[in-house]
Amino acid sequence: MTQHALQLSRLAASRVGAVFPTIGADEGTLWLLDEEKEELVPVWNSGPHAEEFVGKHRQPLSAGLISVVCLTEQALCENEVYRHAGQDPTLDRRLGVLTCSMMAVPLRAGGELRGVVSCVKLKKRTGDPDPSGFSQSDLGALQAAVAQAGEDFP
Amino acid sequence: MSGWPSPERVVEAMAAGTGAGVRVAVLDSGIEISHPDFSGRKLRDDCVVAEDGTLSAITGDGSDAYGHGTAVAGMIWKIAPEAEIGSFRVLGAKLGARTAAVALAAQKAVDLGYHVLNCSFACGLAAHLPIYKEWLDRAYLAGAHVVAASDAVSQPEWPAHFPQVIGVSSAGTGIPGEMQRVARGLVEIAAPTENALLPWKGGGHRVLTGSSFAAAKVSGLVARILSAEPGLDALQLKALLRRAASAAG
Repeated sequence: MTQHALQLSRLAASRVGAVFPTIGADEGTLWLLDEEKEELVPVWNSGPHAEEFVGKHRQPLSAGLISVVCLTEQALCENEVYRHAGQDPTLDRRLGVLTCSMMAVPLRAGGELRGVVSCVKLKKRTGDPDPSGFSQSDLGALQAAVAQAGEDFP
Repeated sequence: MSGWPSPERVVEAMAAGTGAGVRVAVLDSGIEISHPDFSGRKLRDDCVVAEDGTLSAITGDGSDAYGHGTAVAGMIWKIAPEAEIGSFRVLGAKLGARTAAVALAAQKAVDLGYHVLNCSFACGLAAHLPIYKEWLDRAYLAGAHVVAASDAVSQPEWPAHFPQVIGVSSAGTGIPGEMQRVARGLVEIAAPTENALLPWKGGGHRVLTGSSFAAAKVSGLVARILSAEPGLDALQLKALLRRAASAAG
């Protein structure tokens, strides 16, 4: 990841980060493709656990919902995440949260896929009610912000 | 086919058709045919595009690398339960090989006589446009119908942005109806599918929203129409679909 790309990603993150509170997202992440286009690397996260995985975690494109968004270049929203079989609970367990909803949107610049922006709604304490899921209109708002962010890239 | 069916007839076919006799190729991440939702079903074909650089279509093992193709197939069978689905795995970890894999699989599907090609993915790279054009033209000449997802807000993406393709977004117009006409750009159909409970890899389910599943829904509706009105060519069906979508709204 070049220094230039990182600087631009911070600028893009500020654009995307502004939309999270308006759609009720607890936190979000900007993932960029590595140069080999084999892994997604988190370069920015808006939540309290950012230091635990930004720069430390790498998501191979061989698994995961964020990889699906990368491969299809289509936005995706999943609600009731933790209730369904097949959800990998590893990261939630590590951070002590339950992911209830997530959205992920491909980030393109000049038509080329550069990464993915994801955001989540969390259940922070056992016994808390589940937050309402993301809606189609939330997905549209995130897509518009990410499209704008794509214009910050070279 | 002699003459055109009326838009009303197409709306009837969308409501009552089953997809019987219609073959739908799902170009995706594979289909987990052992999923409980697919009990008693078989894939018509199961092809995987090898990622070893030779790009040869090999026989699949009824599995899905991610779950996305399983969800797409689940949506198509939900709408058109008697459609025959074939799996063509083109989505894998090697992102750089995707466009070539799609071209190979699409040609294979056309050669095998599929009526509908569902593409719940997109590519925004202008450099890949000629590759998409080549196989889309072949599909068009063979009489196949291509349905493609697109949620691009401001940039073109393929295959959805070709005029002979039925481009589908999930962002509805607010008008009630299973399918709505979007009067802007080349993606002319919206099929809201908010919070669809769909099968996923590993025998599970997920509650999903997105254009991938909107396209699958429209592929199912196209299969319904073709089961009642076989022989419609790509442009006829698209024109009728636009009018039916407006009528539905």
